[in-house]
Amino acid sequence: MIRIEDLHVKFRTDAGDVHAVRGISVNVPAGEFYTLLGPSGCGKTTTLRCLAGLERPTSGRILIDNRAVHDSANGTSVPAHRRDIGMVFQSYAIWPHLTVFENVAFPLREMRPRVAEKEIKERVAKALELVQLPGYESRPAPFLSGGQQQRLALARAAVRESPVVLLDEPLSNLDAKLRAETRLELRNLVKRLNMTAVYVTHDQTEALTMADRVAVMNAGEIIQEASPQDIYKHPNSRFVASFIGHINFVDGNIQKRSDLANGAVGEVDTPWGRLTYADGVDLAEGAKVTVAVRPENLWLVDAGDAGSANVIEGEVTEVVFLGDSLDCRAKVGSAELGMRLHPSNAVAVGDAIRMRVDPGDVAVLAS
Amino acid sequence: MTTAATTAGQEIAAERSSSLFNRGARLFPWLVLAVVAAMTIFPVFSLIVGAFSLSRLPNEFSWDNMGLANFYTVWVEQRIDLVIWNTAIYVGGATIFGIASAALLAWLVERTDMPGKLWVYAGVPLGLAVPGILHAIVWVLLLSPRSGFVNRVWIDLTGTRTPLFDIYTMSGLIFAEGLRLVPVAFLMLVPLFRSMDPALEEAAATNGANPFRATRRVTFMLLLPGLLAITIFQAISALETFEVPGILGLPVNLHVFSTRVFNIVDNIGTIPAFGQANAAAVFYLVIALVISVFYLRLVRHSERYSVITGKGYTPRLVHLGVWRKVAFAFAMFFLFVTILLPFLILLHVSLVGYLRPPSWAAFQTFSFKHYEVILNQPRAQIVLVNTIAMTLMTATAVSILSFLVAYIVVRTRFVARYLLDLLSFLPHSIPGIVLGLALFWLLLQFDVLTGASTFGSIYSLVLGFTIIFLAYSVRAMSVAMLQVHPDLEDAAKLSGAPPWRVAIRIFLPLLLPTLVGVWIYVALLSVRFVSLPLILAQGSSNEVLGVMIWYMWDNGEINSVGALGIMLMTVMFSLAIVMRLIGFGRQRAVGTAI
Repeated sequence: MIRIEDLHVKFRTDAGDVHAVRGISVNVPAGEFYTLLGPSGCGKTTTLRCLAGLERPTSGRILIDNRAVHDSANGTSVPAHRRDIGMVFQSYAIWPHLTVFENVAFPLREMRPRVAEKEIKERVAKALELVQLPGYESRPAPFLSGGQQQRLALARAAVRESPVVLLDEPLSNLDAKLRAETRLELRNLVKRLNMTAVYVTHDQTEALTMADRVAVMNAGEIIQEASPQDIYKHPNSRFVASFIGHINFVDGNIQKRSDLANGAVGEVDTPWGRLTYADGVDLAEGAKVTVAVRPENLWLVDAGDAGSANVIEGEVTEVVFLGDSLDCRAKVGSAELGMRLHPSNAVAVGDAIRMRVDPGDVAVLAS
Repeated sequence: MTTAATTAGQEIAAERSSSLFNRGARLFPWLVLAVVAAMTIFPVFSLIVGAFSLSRLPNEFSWDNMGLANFYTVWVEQRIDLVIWNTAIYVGGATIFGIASAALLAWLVERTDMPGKLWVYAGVPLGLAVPGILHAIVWVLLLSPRSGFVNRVWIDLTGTRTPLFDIYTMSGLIFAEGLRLVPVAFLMLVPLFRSMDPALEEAAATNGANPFRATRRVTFMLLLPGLLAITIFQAISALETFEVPGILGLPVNLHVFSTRVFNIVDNIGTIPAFGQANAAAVFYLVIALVISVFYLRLVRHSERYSVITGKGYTPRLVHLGVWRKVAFAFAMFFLFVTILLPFLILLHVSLVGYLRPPSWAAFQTFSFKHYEVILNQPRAQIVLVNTIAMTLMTATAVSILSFLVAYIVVRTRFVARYLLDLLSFLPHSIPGIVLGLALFWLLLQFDVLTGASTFGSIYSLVLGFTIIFLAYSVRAMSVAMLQVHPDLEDAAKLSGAPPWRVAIRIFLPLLLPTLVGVWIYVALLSVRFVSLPLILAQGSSNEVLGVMIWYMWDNGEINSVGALGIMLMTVMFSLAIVMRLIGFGRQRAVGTAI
C-alpha cells in the first residue's frame, strides 16, 4: 500500500545543511499498522511529512496504492492536497474559527465533484459517532477538551474514508491516564475502518502496544524493523536495546558459536560468568560482543542451583519498592546488574543472591 | 463515478497546471524581493548620487557635473557638526524625559495599588491619536513667550515682563517631544513590567537580599535589555521626527537634523540648494542607520533574557500608602495635559472670534465661522479628497505588501527570506524628510526618463508612505502569522484543499483581525505624517491635510488650524477606537485557541 524507496531529505538551516533522512526504505502492506519509533530529531516526522507531501524529499521514490506520488528521478511530485490521505497532527490542528461540524465537513467540502449537502451531513454524523462526539456539532472547536479535540482530529482524518492515515504523535498532548485509554481505542478504530496506518511516536509503550510492525529510527536511518515482540526480545543493536525498555549491558567474548538450526546454543564469557545464549546471531568464537539482559528476565533461584548453567551470583546493593515490583541492583564481581522482581520476594541490601536467566533471554549484540 | 480514462486525463491536466503553478510560486518570492529591494535601494541611491551633484536643481542633473563640494559646504560652511550636537542633546533629552515618564506610569499601573488604573490604560494610548504637528502647535499656543496663554496669564498676574517658560528653546523642544514619545513607550513598557515574574524577586529575597537590593540586582538587571531596546527605539523615533522641531525650532533657527535638511531646500530668501540638502541628509541617514543596526542587534539577542513565558502571574503589588492619592493625581494630571488639554485648546482656538486666552469675554465670541470658512474653500475640498485617496491607497498597499512579505519570511523556505526580512526593516531607519528628499530626486529623474508624471502626484506620497510603514506592518503581520500554527494549513492541504482555498478558508479568516488592525493603524499614521508630503508637495495636485495645516500655521491662520485640527483629531480618535474594538480584541482569542 505504501512504499518508500531510498528516501533522502536534506534541510538547509542557519547552522548549515542537515541530512535529516538518510536512505530510508519502507514497505507497508494494506491494512497494516506501521510505527516509526525514535528519539526526537531522528527523522521520523520528516519521513511522515514526505509521505503526506508537506515536505519535499531530496531524493527517493514514494508510492501510495501503487501510484508514484513522488519520484525525484523524473521530478514528479503530487501536491499534498491531491494525495488521498488522512492525517492527525500532534497539535490536532483543529481550525479555531470553525465549529466541530465544519471542521469535520471540511475535507468533504473540498472534494471535486462536489458532495451533496445531505451526504455531507450523514458522513459527518457517522464520523462523529465513530469517535463518540455526537451532539457537539454546533460547538466552536476551541471549546472542546484536549481529548475531545484529539478525537475530532481523528474524525476529520477518517471522514473522507481515505485508505491511508498518517498519525504524528497524536497522543503526546494527552495526560498519562487518557493516553493509556486512547491507545487501544485508536488502534481498534483504525483496524475497524480497514485503514493502512503510519504512526510516528517517541513513546516505546505506544509503539509496542499499537503497532503490527515497528521501525526504530536513529539519526535518519532505520536501525531495526520488526514486530514489537522481536524488537523487544531480539534487539539488533545497543541503541535499540536501550531505547526500548530497561536493559543490562555487559561486555562479552564468544566462546562457542550458536547454531540454532541444529539446536545448539552458544556460549559467551562475561564478567557475570559464562552464559549460554539462544540468539540467532552468527558470530565466530573469540568475537568481542555486548551481552544484554532485561531486568525482568532474571529470576531468583535457590542456593542449591549455584554453579549450574546461566546462574549469576551477586550481592544486593540496593532495593527499591515500586508497589507492583521490586527493583534491585546487585554487584557481580566488578560488574553491576539490575533486576525487577515480584514484590513478594524478600531481599535486603547485603544479601547474597543467585539469579538465573533463560538462554532465550540473553541477547548478543555485535560490539 | 467518472471513468478511468477521464480521471487519468484530468490528472495529467492537473499535474501540468500544478507544475505551471509551481514555477510561478517559485518565482513569486523573488518578485516580492525585487519590489521591496527597489523600494529601498533606488531612493537611497538617488539620494547619495544627488549629494555629489553640483547642479543647482535636481532636474539639471548631469553625470559630468559631480564633486565633493556639497559635503564641504555642509560640513565646513554650514557647520553641520553643530547640528549634530544639537540633535544629540534634543534626542537624548527627549528620550530620557519620555521614557522616564512612561516608565513611571507603567510602573504605577502594573506594580502598585494606585487607584483608577483603567483610566491610564485607556487614556495614555489615546495620545497616539494626537498628530505631532497639532501636539507642537498646542504647546506653542500655551507657552509661546509673548502670546502663549499660560505666559500671558503669568505676565498679567505677576506684572513681570519675562515669560514663565519659553517653548521656542531646546528645553521646550525636549519637553514637547518627550511628551509625544510617552504613549508608544508606555505601550511597550507595560508588557515588560507585566512579564516580570515576581518569583524571581522573591527568590532573591529568600536568598537574603533586602527588598531594595532585590529590586536593583534582579528586577532592574532583568529589565535592562528590554528597557534599553525601548529607549533606543524611542531615540530613533525622536531623531526622525520633523513635526515638533519643525514647529518649535525652525522659526527661531534652532536646528536639528530633520529641520536643517528641510531648511536648506525651503528657506525664504535663499535659493534651495538640493545637493547640499542631500549631503546633509546622507549624514543624517548614516546616523539613523547606525542606531538602527545597533537596535536590531540588541533585540536579536534579547530573547536570552526573555522572562516572557505567557504564564499567568499574580503580580506582587507595591503598597503606596499615602502616596496612592499623589500617584493618582499625577496620572490624572498627565492625562489631562496630554490628551484633554490639546483637544480643549484647539477647540477654543477654532471657535473663538480672534485669538486670545480663554475667558468669559472670549467665550462670548464663539462661533463656527472658522469651520465655515475652511469648508467653503475649494482648496480644502481638494485637500480632503487628496488625503482620503492617499490614505486609502497607502493603507491598502501596505497591508497587501506586508502580508506577502511576512508570509514569505514566516511560512516559506525561500532562500533569500532573511534578506527580504532585513530589506523590509531597513526603511524604518530612513527619516521621513530624507525619504521625501530622495523620492524628490528619484521621481524627477524617473519622469525625465519615462515621460510619466509621478512627481507631484499623490502616488508619490503613497509610494513614500508605503516604504516608511512597511517595517512596522511586516512586524505586526509576522507576529500574527507565527501565532497561526502551520499545522492548521497543512491539515487543510491534506483535507484536499488547493493552496488558494487554504488561503481563503483558513489563513485569511484567522488573520483578518490583524489585517484590519494594520490597515487602520497605517491609515492613522499616514494622515498625521507631515515631513514627507511637505517636501514632495507641489500645490493642489498632491497637497494633504498635514501639509495644509503646516502652511496655514506658517501664514498665521491660527483659527483655521484649530478648526482643521479638531476635524482631524475627531477622525483619528474614532479610527483609534474602531481599531481597539475590532482589531486586537479578537486576535487574542484566536491566538490562545491553538
